[in-house]
Amino acid sequence: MGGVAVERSALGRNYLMIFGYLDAGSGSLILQAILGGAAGILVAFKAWRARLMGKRAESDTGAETEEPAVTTES
Amino acid sequence: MHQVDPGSFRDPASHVVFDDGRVLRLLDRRGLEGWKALSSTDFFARATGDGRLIGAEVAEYDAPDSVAALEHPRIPFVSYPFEWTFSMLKDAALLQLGLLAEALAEGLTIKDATPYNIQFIDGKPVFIDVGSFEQYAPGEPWIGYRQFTRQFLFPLMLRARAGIPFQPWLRGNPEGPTASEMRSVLGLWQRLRPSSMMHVSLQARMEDRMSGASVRDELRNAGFSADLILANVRRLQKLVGDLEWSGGAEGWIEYQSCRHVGRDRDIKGKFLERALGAHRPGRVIDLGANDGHFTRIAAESGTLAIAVDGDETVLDSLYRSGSHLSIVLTDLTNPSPSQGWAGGERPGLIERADPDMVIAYGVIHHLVYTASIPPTTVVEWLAGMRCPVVLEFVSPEDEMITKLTANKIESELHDGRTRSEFETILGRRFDPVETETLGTGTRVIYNLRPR
Repeated sequence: MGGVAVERSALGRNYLMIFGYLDAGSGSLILQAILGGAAGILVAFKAWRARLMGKRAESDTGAETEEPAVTTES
Repeated sequence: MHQVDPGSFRDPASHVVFDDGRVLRLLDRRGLEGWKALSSTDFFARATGDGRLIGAEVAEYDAPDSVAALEHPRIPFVSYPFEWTFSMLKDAALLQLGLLAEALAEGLTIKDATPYNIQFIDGKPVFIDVGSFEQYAPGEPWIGYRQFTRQFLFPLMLRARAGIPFQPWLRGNPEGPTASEMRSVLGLWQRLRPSSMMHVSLQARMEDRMSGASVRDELRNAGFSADLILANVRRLQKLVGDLEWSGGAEGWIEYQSCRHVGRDRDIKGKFLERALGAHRPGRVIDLGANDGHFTRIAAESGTLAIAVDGDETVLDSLYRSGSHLSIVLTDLTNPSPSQGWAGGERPGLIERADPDMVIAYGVIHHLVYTASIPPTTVVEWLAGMRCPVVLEFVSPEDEMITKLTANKIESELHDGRTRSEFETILGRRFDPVETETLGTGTRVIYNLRPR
C-alpha cells in the first residue's frame, strides 16, 4: 500500500506542486502562511479547509481511483 | 564553441556557459521575462551597485535554444557551502533573505533559495544567479521557503543548537537536512524553542500529512499575499541573526602561541615574498593556512590567494576579521572531491583552485605523522599540481615531531622522514630554487620549481 501511495504522489498529482524546477513542498507552503503572523493563520486555515473539501469532493467522484496506481514495490 | 558550466543546468530558464574567458548566461523566453522584470527595478541598480548582486549586462551572443544572453564578471574562485564556516553561511543566509525582502517590495521574487547561488568575492557574499529573480505573481507563496530551511537555516541550527558541524552533512547531501531529520537531531529543550517548533517540528508534521497535496490555488483563493512572505522573512532575519557559534575551544587557535611560530614567522614571510617575486603566480593556494598570515602576504603581491585549512574556528575568526582572502574549510587528508550529478557538477578543490603556486608551510609533517600519509605520496600530490611549491620540512628531531610521535611506534612510521631522505624524494619531482634552514636546524624551507 505504501508503495502505491508514494508512486501515485510522485507520478500523479504531486507534479502540480513543482513550480518551475523546484519542489516547494505542500506542507511547507501552508506553513509559511502561518509563519506570516495572525493574518496568515486565517489564510492557512482557509486554504487547509479548502484542501480538505476538495479532497472530499474528489473522493465522492472517485477521482482518486481513476489514476493509474503504479508501484515499484513488489 | 562555448563550454557549459557543469553546475548550471537545473533551471531551464537560464544557464551559464563560458566562451573564451567570457561568462555568459543564456536565457529562454521565461528567463528573458525575469531579466526584464529585474533589470528595470531600482533594486537591481542598488544591489549590483553595492556588490550584493553580481553585475549583468545584455550581450551579443548567438546560441541555440536561447533568446537572449547576459554577460557577468568572472568569479575569481568558486567555493561551496560545505567549505564555508558558520559565519560565512550565516552571512549568505542573511543576504538571501535581505535580497528577497527588497525584491518583494518591487514586485519581484526569488524562485529558489540555495547557497549555491552565492559566492564569496573579496571576503563578501555576492548573489550570483540573476536568473533566480522573476515577477511575483499575486497570491503565490514563497516557493523557496523549504529549500531555505534545508540549506541555510537547519545547517546553522545544527551548529548553533546541536553542536554538530554542518559541513559534512552538506557535503554528503547538498539538499541539506529535512525537517524530520532536524527534529530527530535537536535535543528536547532545543525542540521546545518557538522557532524550532515552527520551522522544524511543525514543518516536519505538515510535510508528512500533506505529501502529494496541491495547495497553491487554495492559498491564493484564501488571500495569501506578499505581506505574509515579508513577515516570515523578517522573522527569519531575526532568527538567523541570533544564531551564534562561538567556535571550538580546542584545535589550532592556540597554534600562534607555539614557540617556533613567532620565531620563524618573519623569515618564512620574507622567503615567501622572494618566491612570489620569482614565480609571479596568478593564483596561490595556501595549504594549512591557519590565521592566513602567509596567504595575506601572497594576496598583497597581487595574486588571488586561497586560504585552506581544516579548522573551522581559525577560519571563522579569519573571515570575521574582514579578510578579503578566499577561504576554504576542508580537511587536507580528505579534500573536497569532484561530486554532484555525473560526478562533475562540483569540481574537486584542487581542480577548482587551479593554482600557479602552492604554499605548504607547517603542514607536511602533520600529513606524514598525524595522518600517516607517506612522504613520497605527499610529494607526488604536490607535484600533481604542476606548479612551484614553497614548503616547510620538519625533521624527526624537532620538538613538535616528538609530541606528534609520542604514542607511535618507530616501525609504524613511513620512510622519507629524515632531511636527506626527504630531499631525495623532492629531487625526483622538483628542482630547488632556494633553501633556508630555520632556527635550531630542525626546520627547513624550500622554494621548489617542478621538473
